[in-house]
Amino acid sequence: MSAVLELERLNVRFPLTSGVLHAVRDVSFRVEPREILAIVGESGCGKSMTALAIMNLLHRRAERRVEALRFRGEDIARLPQRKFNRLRGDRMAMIFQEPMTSLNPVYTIGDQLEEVFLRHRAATREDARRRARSLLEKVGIPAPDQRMRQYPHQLSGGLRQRVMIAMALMCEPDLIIADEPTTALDVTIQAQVLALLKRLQAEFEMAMILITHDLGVVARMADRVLVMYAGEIVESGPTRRIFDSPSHPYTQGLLRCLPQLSAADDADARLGTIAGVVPSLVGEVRGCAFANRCPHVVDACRADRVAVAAAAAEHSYRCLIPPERTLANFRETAR
Amino acid sequence: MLTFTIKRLFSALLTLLLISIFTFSLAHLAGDPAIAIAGREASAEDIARIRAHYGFDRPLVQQYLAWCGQALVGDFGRSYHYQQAVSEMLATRLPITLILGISALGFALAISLPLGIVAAIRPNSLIDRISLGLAVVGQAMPTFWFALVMIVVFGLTLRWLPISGNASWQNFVMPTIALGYFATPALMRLTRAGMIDALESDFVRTARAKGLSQTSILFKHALRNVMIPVVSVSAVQCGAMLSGSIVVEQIFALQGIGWLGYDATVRSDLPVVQAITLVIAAFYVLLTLLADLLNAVLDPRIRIG
Amino acid sequence: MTGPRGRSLRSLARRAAGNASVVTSGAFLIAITVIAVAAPLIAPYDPYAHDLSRRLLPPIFFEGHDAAHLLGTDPFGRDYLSRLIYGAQISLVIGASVMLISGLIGTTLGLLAGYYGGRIDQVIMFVVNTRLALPIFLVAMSVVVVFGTSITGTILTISLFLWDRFAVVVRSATQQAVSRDYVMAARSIGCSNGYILLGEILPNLVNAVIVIGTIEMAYAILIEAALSFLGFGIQEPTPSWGLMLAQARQYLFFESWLLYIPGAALFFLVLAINLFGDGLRDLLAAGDRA
Repeated sequence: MSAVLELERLNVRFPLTSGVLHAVRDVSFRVEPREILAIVGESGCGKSMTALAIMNLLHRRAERRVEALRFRGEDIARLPQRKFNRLRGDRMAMIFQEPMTSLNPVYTIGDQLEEVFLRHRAATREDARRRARSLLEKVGIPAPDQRMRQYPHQLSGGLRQRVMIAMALMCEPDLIIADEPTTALDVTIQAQVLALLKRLQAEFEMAMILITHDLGVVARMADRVLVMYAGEIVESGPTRRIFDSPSHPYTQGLLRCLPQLSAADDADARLGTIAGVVPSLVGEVRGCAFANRCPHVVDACRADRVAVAAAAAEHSYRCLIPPERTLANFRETAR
Repeated sequence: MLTFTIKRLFSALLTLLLISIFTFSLAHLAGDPAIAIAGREASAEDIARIRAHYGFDRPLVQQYLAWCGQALVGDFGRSYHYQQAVSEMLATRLPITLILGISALGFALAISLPLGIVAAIRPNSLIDRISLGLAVVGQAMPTFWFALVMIVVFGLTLRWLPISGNASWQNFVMPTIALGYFATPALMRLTRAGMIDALESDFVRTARAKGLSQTSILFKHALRNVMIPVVSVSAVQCGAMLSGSIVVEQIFALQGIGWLGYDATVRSDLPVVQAITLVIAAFYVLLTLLADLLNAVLDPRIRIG
Repeated sequence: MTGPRGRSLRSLARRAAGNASVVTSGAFLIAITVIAVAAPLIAPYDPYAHDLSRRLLPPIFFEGHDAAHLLGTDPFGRDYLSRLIYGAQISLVIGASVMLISGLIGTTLGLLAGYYGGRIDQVIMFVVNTRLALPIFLVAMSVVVVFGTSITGTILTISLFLWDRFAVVVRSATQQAVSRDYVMAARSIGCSNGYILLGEILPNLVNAVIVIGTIEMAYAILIEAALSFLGFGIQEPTPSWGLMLAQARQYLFFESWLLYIPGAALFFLVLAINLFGDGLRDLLAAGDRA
C-alpha cells in the first residue's frame, strides 16, 4: 500500500540579521496508512517547524525548501494556495499545542466546527450542525448542544483541546498532525486526551504524526519514531527497536532521562540529564550537531556532516560510532 | 450583560453630572450674568430687575438645581443675545454638526481601515510605507491650516467646492476631510498593529489549518478581533471631532453647534455656551457607551463574564 | 540605581546617533530652539515695528518683493521673518510648559491610581473619562472669557486638558510594576509607599513618560495655534504662528503666502517633535528588549 505522506529533503530557514537560522535540515520521512509516527526531540529541535512546514503554516519570514512532498502519491509541494487549501482541513488536519489560544474567542464552538464542514463539503448548515454534534459526542464532551452555543472562554483547557480534536476530525482526514497536543494540559487530563486520540485514530483509520518531547507518550502511542536534534533526524525506526537498541548517543541520552517504570521504587533510580547545550543553528552547522554534548565524540565527528547508517531494516541513525560500542555503555548506565 | 449595561449607564450619568456642575460654575465665575444681559451702561435698577427676573439673586445651589431640572426636560434657558430659547437654537444647529461628525468619522474609517489592513497584510511593502508616511504627515498637520489650504486650492483657485455655508452636500466635503483626517493616523496605526497581531495569532493559524479561504480568514476571523479596540478608539476620536468641529465650522461658516458655540463665546452668551458644552459632553458619553455596548456584542468575553 | 541608568542613557545616546530619523528631527529641534532663544540676535527687524508704507510685501521668491524683507511683510508692514522667528519662542515655551505641567498632573494621578487601585483608581479613572468628555476648544474659550487672556492662562488651560494620556499610560505601567519582584521585595522589607512610588516605580516609568511627553508637546503646540487662530489664545501684537494664520485668513486669495509660511513652520515643528518621539520610542523599546 502506498504511503499517505512522503517528505523528501525538507529545509526551513529564517533569514535573521545575525545570519540564516537553519531550523530544519534535510528532513525526509514517510507516513504509512493507519500508523502513528512520533517525532520526538527537545524544544527548538525543529519538530513543530516540520509539522507547520507540511501544513504550509510557517511564519511568513520562514523559507521552506522541499524536494518533494507527496500526499497519497500526489506532489503537493508546489500546489497553488487555492488547491492546497482544499486539502488542508479536509484530507489533512492539525491539532495545536495551545488550546487556550487556538480557538477564535469571538465565535461559538458550534460555528467554528461547522465552518470546516461547510468549507469542504457541499453541506447545509443543518448537516454541519449534526456532524459537529456527533463529533463532540465522540470526543467525549457532555451536553454537546449546549457546548456548541458557548464561546471558547467558557470552556476549560481540556475541553477546548477536545473541541480542537473534533474540529480536526470534521472531514475524516487521512492524516492528522498533532503538535504536542497535551503539553498545555493538566497531567490528569493528558492521559485522557492521549487515549482519546489513539482510539479515534484507530476508529477513523487515519495516519497520525504525533509531535512530542515526552518519550513516555511515544512508548504508549507510536508505531514508529523519528528522533530530531538541531533541525535534523538523528535516528528513526520502529518504536520497540528504538527503545530496545537506541543507536544514536542522543537517543540514548533521552532514554536515560526517562524514569524507568521498573526502577520506580528503587531509591537510586537515576534521572539522567544530557549535559551541555544545543548548538546555535545560525550559520552553517559543521560536523555532527551533537558532538559538543556526546560522550563518545571523536575528532572525525566535527569534520563533515555525518551520513545516515542502517542498523537494521527500517532502523537508521546518523552517527559515526558503531552502535555496538555506544549501546554497551548505554545499557550499563541505564540500569 | 444587564449588570454591565446598568454599571455603564450609571457611570455615564455621573460623568454628565460632574460636567454640568463644571459648566455651571464656569458660567457663574464669569461675573454677574445680569450685567452681561443688561449691558455695561445699564442702570442699577435695570440690573436689579433683570437679576430678580432671571433668579440670579437666589443661592447658587438653588440656581444650579433649577438649571439642572430644566436641562433634564430639554430647557436650557434663553439666549442673552438672541432672546430665543436655547433648546430651539440647538435643535436647528445640531443636525448639521451630527452630519459633519458622522461623515468625518466615516471618512476617517474609510481611509484608515483599508490602508491599515493592506499595510498589515504586506508589512514593509510600498503601500505600508506610503500609509505610514501619510500617518506621520497627517499627525503634524494643523487642522485649521489644512482647512485654509483646502479653501485656497479647491475653493478659490480650482473653484470646485463652495467655501462657506451649509446649502448643499458640497459644503460638507471640505469640512468632512478637514475634521476627519486628524483621526486617520491613530485609527490606521491601530488597525495595522491589531491586524498584524491577529494574523500572527494562534486562532488565525487554526483558521488557515482548516483550509478556509483568504477572505474568511481576513474578514471573519482576523477583522472582528481587530475591530474591538478600533470601535473604542473611534468613539474617543468622534468625541474629539465634536470638539474640533468648533474650529472647522467656524472656518467654513458651517452653522452647526460648533459655529454657534464660537459665536456664543464671542458674545459671552453663557446659557448657550453652557448648553453646548453639556450637549457635546453628553454626545461623547453616549458614543463611548454605544462603543462599549457594541464591543459587548462583538466580544463574548465582555458579554458573558 | 544611577549607575545602570547612566550607562543605559549612554548606550541609548549611542544607538540614537545611528538612527537617521532621530538624528534629523533632533537636529531640527535643536536648530529651532537655538533660533528661538537667539531671536533678538538673529531677527533682522523688531517684530513689533509697524511700517504701513511697506505692508504686504511678498517674499523674495515672488515678483514685487523687497530684498530687505526675505519673507515679506504682514498687513501692518511688520517683517514676516522676524515675526516667524519670535513666534517659535511662543510655540516652544507653550509646548514645553504644557508638557511639564500636564506631565506632572498626569504622572501623579496615574501613579496613585495604579499603585493604590480600588476606590482611588475608580475615582481617578472617572475624572479621566470626564475630562475626555469635555470639548476642549469650547471650554478653553469659555475659560478665556472668564479669566481673560495671557500666556500663563493659555498654558494652564491647555495643561488641564492634556494630562489624561500620561495618567492612563502611567497607571497601567504602574499596575505592571507593582506586581514585579523588586516592588514586592521593597514592600516586604517595610519600605514606605512614598519611597516605593518615587524610588522604585517612577524610575522605571521614565521612558514611557518621555515618549508621551513628546506627543503631548506636539499636541499642545497645535492647540495653542488653533486657540490663537480663533482669537482666544495669544493676542496681538505678540507674534504667534496661530495668530499670523488668523491674519492670513483675510488675504487668502491674493496673498496666500501669508498662509503657507507660518503654516509650514508649524507643520515642520510638530512633525519634528513627532518623529523624534517615534524614534525615541523605538529606541527605548529596543533597549528594553536587549
